[in-house]
Amino acid sequence: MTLTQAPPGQAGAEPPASAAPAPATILTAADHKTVGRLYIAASLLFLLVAGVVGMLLRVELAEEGVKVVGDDFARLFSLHSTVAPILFLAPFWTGLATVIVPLQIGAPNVAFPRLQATTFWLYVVGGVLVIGAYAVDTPNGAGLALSSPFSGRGNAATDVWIMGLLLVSVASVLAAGVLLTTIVKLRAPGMTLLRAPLFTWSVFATSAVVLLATPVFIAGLLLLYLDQHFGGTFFAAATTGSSEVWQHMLWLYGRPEVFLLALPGLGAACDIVVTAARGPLPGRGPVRLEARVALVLFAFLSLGAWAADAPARDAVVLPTVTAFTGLVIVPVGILALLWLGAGRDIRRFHFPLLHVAGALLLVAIAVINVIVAAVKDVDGGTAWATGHLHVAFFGAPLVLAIGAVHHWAPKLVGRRLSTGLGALELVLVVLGVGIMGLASYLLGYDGAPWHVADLAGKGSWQNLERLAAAGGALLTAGVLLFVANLMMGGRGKAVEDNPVGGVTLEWATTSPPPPWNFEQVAPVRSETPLAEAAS
Amino acid sequence: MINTPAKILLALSAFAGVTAVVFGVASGDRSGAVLLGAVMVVALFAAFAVMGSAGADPVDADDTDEADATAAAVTYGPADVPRASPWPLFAALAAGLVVVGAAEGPAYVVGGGLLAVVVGALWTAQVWREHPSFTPRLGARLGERVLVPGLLPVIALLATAVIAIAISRVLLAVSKDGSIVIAGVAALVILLACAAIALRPRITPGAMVGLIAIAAVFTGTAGVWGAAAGEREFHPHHAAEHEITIVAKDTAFDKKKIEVPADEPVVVDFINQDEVFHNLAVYTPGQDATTVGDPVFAGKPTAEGELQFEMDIANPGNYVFVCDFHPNMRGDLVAE
Amino acid sequence: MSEQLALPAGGQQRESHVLNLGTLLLGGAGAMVFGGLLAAYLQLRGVADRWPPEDVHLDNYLGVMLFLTAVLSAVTVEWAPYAIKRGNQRQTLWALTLTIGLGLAFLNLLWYTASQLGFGVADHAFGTLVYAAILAIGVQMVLGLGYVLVALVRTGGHQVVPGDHQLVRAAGWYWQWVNVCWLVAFTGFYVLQNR
Repeated sequence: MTLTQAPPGQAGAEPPASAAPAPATILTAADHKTVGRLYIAASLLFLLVAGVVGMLLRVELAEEGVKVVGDDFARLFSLHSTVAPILFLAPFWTGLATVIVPLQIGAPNVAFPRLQATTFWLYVVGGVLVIGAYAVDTPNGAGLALSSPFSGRGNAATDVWIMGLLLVSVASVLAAGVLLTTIVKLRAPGMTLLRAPLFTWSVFATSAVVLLATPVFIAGLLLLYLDQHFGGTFFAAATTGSSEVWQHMLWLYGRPEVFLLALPGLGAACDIVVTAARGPLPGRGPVRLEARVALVLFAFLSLGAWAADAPARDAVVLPTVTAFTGLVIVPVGILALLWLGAGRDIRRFHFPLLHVAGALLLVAIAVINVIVAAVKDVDGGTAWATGHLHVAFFGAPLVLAIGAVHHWAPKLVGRRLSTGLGALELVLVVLGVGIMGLASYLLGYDGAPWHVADLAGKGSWQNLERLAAAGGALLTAGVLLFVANLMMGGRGKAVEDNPVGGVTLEWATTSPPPPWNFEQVAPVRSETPLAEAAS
Repeated sequence: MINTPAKILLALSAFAGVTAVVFGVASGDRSGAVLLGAVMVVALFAAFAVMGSAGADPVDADDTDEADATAAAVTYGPADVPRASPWPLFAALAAGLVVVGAAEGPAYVVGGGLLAVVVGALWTAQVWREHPSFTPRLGARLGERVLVPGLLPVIALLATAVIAIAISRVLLAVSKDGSIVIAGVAALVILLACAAIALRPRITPGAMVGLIAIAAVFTGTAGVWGAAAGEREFHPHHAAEHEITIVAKDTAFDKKKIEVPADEPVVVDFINQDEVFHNLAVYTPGQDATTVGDPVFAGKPTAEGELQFEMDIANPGNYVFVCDFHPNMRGDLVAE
Repeated sequence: MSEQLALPAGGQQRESHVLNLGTLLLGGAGAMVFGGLLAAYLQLRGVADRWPPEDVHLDNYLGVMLFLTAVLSAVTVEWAPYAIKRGNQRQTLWALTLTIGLGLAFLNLLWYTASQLGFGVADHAFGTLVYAAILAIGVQMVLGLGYVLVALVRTGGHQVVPGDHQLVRAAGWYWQWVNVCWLVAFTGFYVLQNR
């Protein structure tokens, strides 16, 4: 019997008629590549929403006394700080993983394709509810960036907002389960987990922690809903409630999540370096555990955010830089050293390397400022935290996300993206985040508060706020350029299977891959099966 | 077999456990420690699950040498492509409806729940048809033996319920005369339609479905309109803005003084918690039942129970309220 | 192409435990919801002046009945994969039907328990927690019922057969996780009720 099928004639996104009896549309797709692309598209839409709102906030801050958004500052601020991490970054990585992980491990699909499609739609419905809540009214409190709980009875918008977040969280837990099962059970013969590409490895670590940590966030949302809907005092420390519970379960997206927004990006960066070097990252012994241990350690330490020690929490800038969680810099440092170590093997320029460099630059800025803040003893709720959040927890992952899309574009859209536009968008994003971050850092050193519409303070603050707004404008322009580049990518020239000289399994199939991903997967015998085949 | 994914989860469990203990002891913050402890337990279970699910399958090979020894090429084809399905989308919509109900009321929860049941059934049906053992003949037999005798009564019951509910909403929403007319017309329409169908036995299934669809849409729309319009008022009365509650207990009123507006209806909630009869009567001072006068107002008596009645004191002034059975139960009433 | 002869025995064997693993992992995630609630519970219990609050007495009888129902259903739901492994379809159907019956009884009793609490959601933090736990266990029980029902229907249709009975096994695993969730809630609210 012949199990080998003829290669699909048109390597398009839609499966040929023979493959699927009912033509799959966007609404009925169960193919992991389509679902993943939908995830990425939806997350970018939400990023645009968050970006536009963020820009409005920046303009409001820049001009003292001028009311751009009027009395809606708190409302828009809450929207911005909810949408950017929860509706953009996290689902973006889920989407990228949904497309790339089965290709990297030599599987024909994810473990439960229809469940994964369900998670996408849950995410969309939840996201629409969250945005809708802001359209109707202001949900109670100032979003999840509020370090102390809000109490009192919420309005209907609060209920809808909580429930939207609940759906998105359930979707992310289910998606993590699907990805974990895929990685554990669907690897191609010979593809031991230690041979799996580092992006897959990082997705495994991320999904494991999401699976364990996000349900706690869900429990927190449930309590918050009951509290707000029925007018209780659960989180109000002054009564019988407890603000500790709030801090652990809800604040900053349930603590560990903030770090998980960066972890798949680190894995993607590893794969970018591996591709450029055409060989595994440096390490000792035949299994080279260093990078893998660093990624897993990063995931573990993210859980440690729950243990950001309580006394230090109020004294030091953010939970993210208290002694315990500050340790995350160790795995990041190890990875950076490994990337540099691989540098001597790089013979040919690979464009997304620039994104890795850009992200490292931003991380370096963040680290320097953490040290300065520790020395200068900066107070918690200041503009410093705004800057730190944007540089370390948004800017760096965003740059890595853009780099990952450039890297895997042949598998995502079947074309390569323009590197000219890519370079411009990278410069804009890094510069934008850097300028905005630096301005906020400086404001923080001067004691400027955060989360206020107008800074009635020193005159020098005004100039820094204007600088931050300019940075925000650059960032927005960069993101818009990236989206445009991605949309135009579909119209580029067709590319061969492996246009970047990749050595991992996803480069063994066509660009874009057929609906069943691979005609045949040969037994995998190393971390870099394609390098072996070439030699 | 302790494979790599299990090792990672075990390490995670150990890490969480150690952190929980160290953190719990150092800070005394229980919730953080318990969260990490829970992670320890569940990660341990997950590790066991991963270990237990690893069979003799080459895919589960973990040791490099073993993997290289057993690995063979695999081929994939159209059989590995999941069929398209609209049910994930509908499942998410059902979940969305249910959670909207959390804010907007239980109607959405019920609607979302029903949609979820339907989606679950249809999703299962699709999976059923995709199973290798399924053949169209089997499907036909299944339809004859299970779906028709099992589902038809259910569908008929549901349809009857929907019609009854929809029409009742309409009848409750319109005026009394209107409801009589509408009920008559509806009965006539149903009679005529059924008679027409009965007289023309060769009516095509398409026309039949069309007729049913039109009727369903019409009934459904009318029902939704009726529900939205709300029920008409059955006991029209000028709304009394004032309401007082009086409790009689242990042969005494709970109030010594009541103030009411003059020449305006006041709703009185009269609660008697004694086993003996009490009532509420109002007299001008000095003219209560023990002497000569007529009551300005006399409420119905009741033994252990609640009464609600309207009281209208026409002229402003000072009055007394008493229980006609127990004249020592008394207080002052001021009408202004 | 000669390697084709060495192919594993088709898709059946390759995916042998995929559903089991996915269910176990996601069931664990469901249990973590209760981990979160337990953390909140113990935290509040630690700092409260009075625990449980005044006038709160959870009826141990109802809690124990719920617990016993859960234990019974844990047995019947294990009976199903045991029977199907030995090719006894009739017993499998009985086991799953009994499980559904016990699940409905559990939901009914849960509903009754909620109606007999004697305090509201927002009366105190304790109340908020109790209602959150009841809501979460109810939702998970409904999902578990759906899972077992699908397993029952497909077993009845001969789509779950010995050697390919993953669905029944996985539904059982999920059911056991829901039982674990109730065990956590039971321990917190009944066994550890009084400080």
